[in-house]
Amino acid sequence: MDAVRFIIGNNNTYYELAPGKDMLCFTEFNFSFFWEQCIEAGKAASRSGRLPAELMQSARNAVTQCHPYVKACIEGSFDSVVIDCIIAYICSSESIGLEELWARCISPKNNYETAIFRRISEYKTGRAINQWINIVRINEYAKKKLDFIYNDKAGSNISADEYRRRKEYFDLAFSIAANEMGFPAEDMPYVRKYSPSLAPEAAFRMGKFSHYVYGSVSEKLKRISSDSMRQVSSVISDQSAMDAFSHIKDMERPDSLEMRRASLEGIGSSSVIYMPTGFKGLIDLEFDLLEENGEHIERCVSCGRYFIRGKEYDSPYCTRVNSGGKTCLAAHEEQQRLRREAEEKARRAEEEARRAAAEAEEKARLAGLRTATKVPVIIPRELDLRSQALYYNLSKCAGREMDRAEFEEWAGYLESLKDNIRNGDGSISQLEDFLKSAEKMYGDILGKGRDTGSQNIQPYAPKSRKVSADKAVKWVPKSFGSVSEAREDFEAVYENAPSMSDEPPRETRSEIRTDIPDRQDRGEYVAKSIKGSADMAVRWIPKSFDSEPAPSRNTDFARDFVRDVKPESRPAPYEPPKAAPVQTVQPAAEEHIAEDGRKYKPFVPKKYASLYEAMTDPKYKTEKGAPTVGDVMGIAELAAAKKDTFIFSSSEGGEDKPKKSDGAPPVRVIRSPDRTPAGRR
Amino acid sequence: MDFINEEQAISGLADTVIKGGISLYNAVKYIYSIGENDFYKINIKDAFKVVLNNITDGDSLRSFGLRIDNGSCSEMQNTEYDKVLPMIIYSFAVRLPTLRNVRNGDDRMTDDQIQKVYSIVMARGAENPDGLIREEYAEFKYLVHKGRPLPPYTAEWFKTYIYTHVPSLADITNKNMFLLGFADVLFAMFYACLEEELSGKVLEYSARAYSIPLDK
Repeated sequence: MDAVRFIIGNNNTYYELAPGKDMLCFTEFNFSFFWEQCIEAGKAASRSGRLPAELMQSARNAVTQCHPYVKACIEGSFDSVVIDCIIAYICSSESIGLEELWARCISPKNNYETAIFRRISEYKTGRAINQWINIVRINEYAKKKLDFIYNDKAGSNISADEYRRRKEYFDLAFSIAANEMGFPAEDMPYVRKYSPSLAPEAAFRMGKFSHYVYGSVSEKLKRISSDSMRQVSSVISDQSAMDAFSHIKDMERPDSLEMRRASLEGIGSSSVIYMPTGFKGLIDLEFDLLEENGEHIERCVSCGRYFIRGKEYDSPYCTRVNSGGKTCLAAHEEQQRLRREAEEKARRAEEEARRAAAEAEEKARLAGLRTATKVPVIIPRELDLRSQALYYNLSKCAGREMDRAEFEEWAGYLESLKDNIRNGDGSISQLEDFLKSAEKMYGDILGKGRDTGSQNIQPYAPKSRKVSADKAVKWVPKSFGSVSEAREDFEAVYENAPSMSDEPPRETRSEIRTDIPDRQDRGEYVAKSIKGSADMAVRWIPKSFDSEPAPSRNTDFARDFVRDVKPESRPAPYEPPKAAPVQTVQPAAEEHIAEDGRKYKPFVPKKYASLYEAMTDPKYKTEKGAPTVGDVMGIAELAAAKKDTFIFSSSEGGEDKPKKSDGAPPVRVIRSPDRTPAGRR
Repeated sequence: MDFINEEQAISGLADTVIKGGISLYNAVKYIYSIGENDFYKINIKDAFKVVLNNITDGDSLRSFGLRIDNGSCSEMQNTEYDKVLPMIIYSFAVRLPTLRNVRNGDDRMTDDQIQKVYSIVMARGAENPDGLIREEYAEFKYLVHKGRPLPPYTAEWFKTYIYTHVPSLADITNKNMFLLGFADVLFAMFYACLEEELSGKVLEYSARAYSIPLDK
């Protein structure tokens, strides 16, 4: 906003006021230098009796910088501001009142006391006030009004109407307080607004212009004879004005050229002249002009100090020079520039990296290398059979020539390696190397002699073991590491059992397995292969019941058995204890009547002894009758294949309703509560 | 009374009387000017304090921003009123025999010493036109010697002179009534302060005040 001009009484000079800017300068002005100069001058004067002119002038010059109004009045009402400051200092330092100080200096003995006495006499007679205290109080007033209207969090978006409401609220509160104290509102400090030619003392302020005008109307003014100024009250002001007008009513307008020539020297750029009646009036004028020009004051986002924001300058950062030697705006712009440069740099680097990667990929593609996608690899059948044969042979040695833990570790590596190859994470050559090293290492176990040089051959450790959920069914847990072998035995007995994908062809198996045990031995063999007791197998919970077991003579019972199990009655997964000993309990005698009429007990492998005993317990009964040994083995085999555990119905003292599905005969097993898996939970 | 420098003491006492006269003369003008514009701005009690504390300072009330020019007390800007000053000095001079009551131990001013002061004051222009001031030097000398009570110093002669010789002040106006009102108090109080001032001056000039043996 452009500066406005103001005048003060008894002074023909125009002064400029920058609304808002001068007020902010005033509220932030540091008066400490002026205060120190005044105190120094007062002490020097009290010693010498004479006021030191240099110190007085230095102090006056210092205080004139605080506001244009003080500068305008420094030869008038603020002429004795240094004495005022000294008086305030004496009163405050000696804790005395003005009356006491005045009486102390009522018979002044030197210029210093005379100055103090005269100044206090001026206070007493209402001809002056302590202008230093006035400056301090006006400063406080300006700060308070500034904070009241504009003190918001930096960056807050306050409307112009809100600012106006705050200002009116503040001014009205002041008017109410003044009224309550009995001060007439019209006598409070205010600002008069004049056009330059109607301002007080205009005839003298616009000397050249008025001289020209006077020359043109002097003939008409000769009749006027007045040797003194007249008092004009507000009541007769119109009458007095018309009396003056009557002397120029016959005045003719000069030609425009002449008028322009005359007015060039006298009329300034500003068409409005303000005349404050007090310091407060001018401070209030600054607030009003800010609002009038659509500007407001707000705190800088960076330094938190007030600055003027409006149409001409609409940035949340001020233009004050901060401690860094830059304005907040310049510092912010510099910071923004650096941030943009850093972002641009990062973006370029990213683009460069992306371009380099694309180029490298293109090169790799051209070179025929597979860089990005994993291609699942199908293990050659010959290599797969070789691994299975090795697995089979070593499994037979597990627990005897070969430590079982070592075998399990080896088997785990083998399965992981196969899975990795199928997932594309491994290669065929890795499997070949692994099998080759295993054959060398366990050659003596396998009857070929252990390779002494195998000390340098380390067991192959796959990079990672990734088994997908759909392949989890195929995965054989370590606890049932030899279940596949048992399955083979089972299928060897029951020809119509379904073949599993990972199993070697039957002819191959016959080649490898030359020592398939007979039926009785086979059951014992299977029992040995399954780690854990039959009870554990029963408790084991199947992860998936989706796949139907292969229809077989002995698995029918197991399938029906599984189907009857209520899903909601399935217990929580139960982890069997490790290294549970294989039970070798003799089965409960199931009396069979031979052709010769003798009763004998059927042979039950030790592995299934406990299961068989449980299922043939007289406390239980099934609708199909007591299961045979084959049924028990089928259940165990199915459990091993499904990695599940069959559970009995947990009805306590009641009966489960038989379920019919898939045409299978309903199976109901009733068992005592103390042996139900649910009861164990 | 023994003085260190009798001539200087007598001259100084005469100066004090004359300056006192001038001060009272100006004080009347200054206080009268209060009635022009500052009637409610200036506390007259403060004005009295200033005047009575500065007996010999004729312009002490200027610190109150008062002026005794044509603007504020034009009624007193005439030759008739100017004659009030020698009359005031005369009224003080005729009461100089009261200095005989000022004692410094057993020492006090002699009639000759007081007469010399009176002569100097009269020589500097003190007058009593038309005999408006009824007190005389001989009368006061007699009363002092006899130890009889002295008549109080009043402003009767001042008011009489104004009524008879200064028409501008004889008009019934707010300012003139104000003048007649404060003059009674001011004159009496001023003389009391002047008497005290003269007593102080006498003692100040006396040799014993400095404890200087006269025989040396």
